[in-house]
Amino acid sequence: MTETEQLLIKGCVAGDRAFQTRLYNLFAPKMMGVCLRYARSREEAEEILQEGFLRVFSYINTFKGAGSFEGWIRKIMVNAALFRYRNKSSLQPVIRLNTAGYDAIDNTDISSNLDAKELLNLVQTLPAGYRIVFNLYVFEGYKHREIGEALGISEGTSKSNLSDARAFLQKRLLIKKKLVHYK
Amino acid sequence: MSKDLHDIDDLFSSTLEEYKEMPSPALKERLDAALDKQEAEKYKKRFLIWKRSALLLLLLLAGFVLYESGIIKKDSGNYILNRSGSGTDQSPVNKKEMINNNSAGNTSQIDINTNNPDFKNENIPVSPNQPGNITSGASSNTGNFNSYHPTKNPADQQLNWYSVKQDPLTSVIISKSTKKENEDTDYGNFFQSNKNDRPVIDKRINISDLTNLLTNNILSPQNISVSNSPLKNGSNEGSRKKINSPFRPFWMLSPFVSYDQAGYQLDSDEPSAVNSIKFREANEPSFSIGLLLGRQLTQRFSLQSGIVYRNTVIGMKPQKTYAFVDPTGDVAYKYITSSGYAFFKPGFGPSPNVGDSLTTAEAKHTLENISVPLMAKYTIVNKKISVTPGAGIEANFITKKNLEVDIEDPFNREIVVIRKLNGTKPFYLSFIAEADIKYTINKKVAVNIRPVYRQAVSPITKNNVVETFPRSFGIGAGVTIKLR
Repeated sequence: MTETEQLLIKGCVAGDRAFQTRLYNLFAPKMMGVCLRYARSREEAEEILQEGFLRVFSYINTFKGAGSFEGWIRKIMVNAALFRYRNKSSLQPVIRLNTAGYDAIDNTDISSNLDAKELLNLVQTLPAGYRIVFNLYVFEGYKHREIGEALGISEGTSKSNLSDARAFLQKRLLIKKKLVHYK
Repeated sequence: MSKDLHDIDDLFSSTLEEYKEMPSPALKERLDAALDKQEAEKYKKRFLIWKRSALLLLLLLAGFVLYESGIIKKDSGNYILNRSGSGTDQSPVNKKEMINNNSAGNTSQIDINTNNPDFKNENIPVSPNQPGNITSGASSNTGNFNSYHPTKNPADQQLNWYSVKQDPLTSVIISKSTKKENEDTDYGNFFQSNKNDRPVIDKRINISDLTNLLTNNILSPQNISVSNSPLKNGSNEGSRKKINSPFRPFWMLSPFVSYDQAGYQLDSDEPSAVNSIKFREANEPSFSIGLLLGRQLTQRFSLQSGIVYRNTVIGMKPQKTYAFVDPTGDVAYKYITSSGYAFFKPGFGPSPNVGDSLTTAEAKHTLENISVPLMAKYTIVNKKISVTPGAGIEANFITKKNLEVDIEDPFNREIVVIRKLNGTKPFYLSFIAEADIKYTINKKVAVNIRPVYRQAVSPITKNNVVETFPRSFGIGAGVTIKLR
């Protein structure tokens, strides 16, 4: 933990609004990136970010310095997103994806020249359940058992959701690649 | 294919892991506003414990005052023969009002004997309705009266109270209770004490003669109507309490029916959850019926308890519900209310998967409580009308939680009745305040109107998105019957 972070933590524990602003300015862009992956839209991501920062400022006195401070904040953001997923009515119904025939797709190089913004948009188009499972597995490194516990679903459902999410993204990537190719 | 899929993981992971984007400036403003609100709530909550403690202390204090006021009244209106070991004047009245020793006459008889072992008692109750003898020894029959209040109106003699005490030199003191005590009984008929219950001096006794008799040397034993109540060595508290107050506590029974307008206060970390519930829920007219039992402890103070049944109805607008895994491991739609949440599955259509949604039509939520209030009340009487404001606490037991959800699609319509809500506590406490306005019909019966306000001080929910504190304002009507 850097000295700057230590100073920020101390100021925030004291409830100093200036330190809170500095901490927000330091971490908000990165955490916005995290929240955008869990949200369906920018507005929803900002709501998660707001709830996350409120929790950060409320519980910052419990941070004991074990592990990175950024990792601690990130975990709070992820939990805020999961809390929203579990309790809020912002979920969209899971559509039944027709993933049949995906195995027949050629082993094409899918790492085309899509930029981060486009990839983010693809993640956001995933149905809520798939998006959460994909994020937890790929970005947070959760195991299927842990995802099941976090979301209240079975391990098998988690695996199935991840597989469907990957297939969905793969299909969208190929479509995009073809569009780029035609252009 | 497997390689492909992992390529996707890597592609997204490597590209988006360090992705940054600046949130809108409006977010910082909203965050600041939320932090301000959070601080304000913390500030309020900091004093919540003080408010609750103050309420508890107030109730305890009210109880203490009631208890103490009863004792004081009893002492002040006592018929006491007091023999003290100290040299101080124990008369409750001024020494200036000394008894005139020159009066003549001897129509009553009294016999004082300080050697009587019964006089070892500090205070001896005297009831003129019962005959008895008190004798004074020859060595101490000086008859020095410390004080005496003659009755101005002879007709009032029956209603006056006297204390007869004995000073250290075996003198006997007779003091009259204050007029105010008698006035206290002159409120409305309903609260008026039965004068026949008061111990009074036998009307055959001529007070002036008694005075003369006692202030002069008593040469021979004479008879007076004095209590022969059991006098024991040591404490005589029990016998004192039986006769020492002109007001007799009584019981009151009050059945009532009340129309209530219920509502609730919602607390949550998520303002959007609060707004969402407030938007879709609307309290409908509710009612309560009950039977209250009151104990009028003094002319002014009373305690009231009883049992109240309350029915609260909440109407709900259509809402979109989502499928979750319920506590049994099954996947069902989660319906969230201010009082808790429930899982349900419609009888039609395929079984839901996690994340599926279903829009419900209107719903009705019913809560039924059995409540036990405990209130301290203060009565203000004006002729036949009395107003009795009171405050206290109420223990509420939620006996029934019912949710009727109307579900329909283009082809089906179904009403799902849910009788089990999760996240609802079976018990909560409320603060209660009411003003009971009575109109006295006769000595036994009064009709009343009672506006009452209830505010929960503990939430009825746990593990729900919101903490719910029910409150209600009701107007009740009923009858109060005076019991003995």
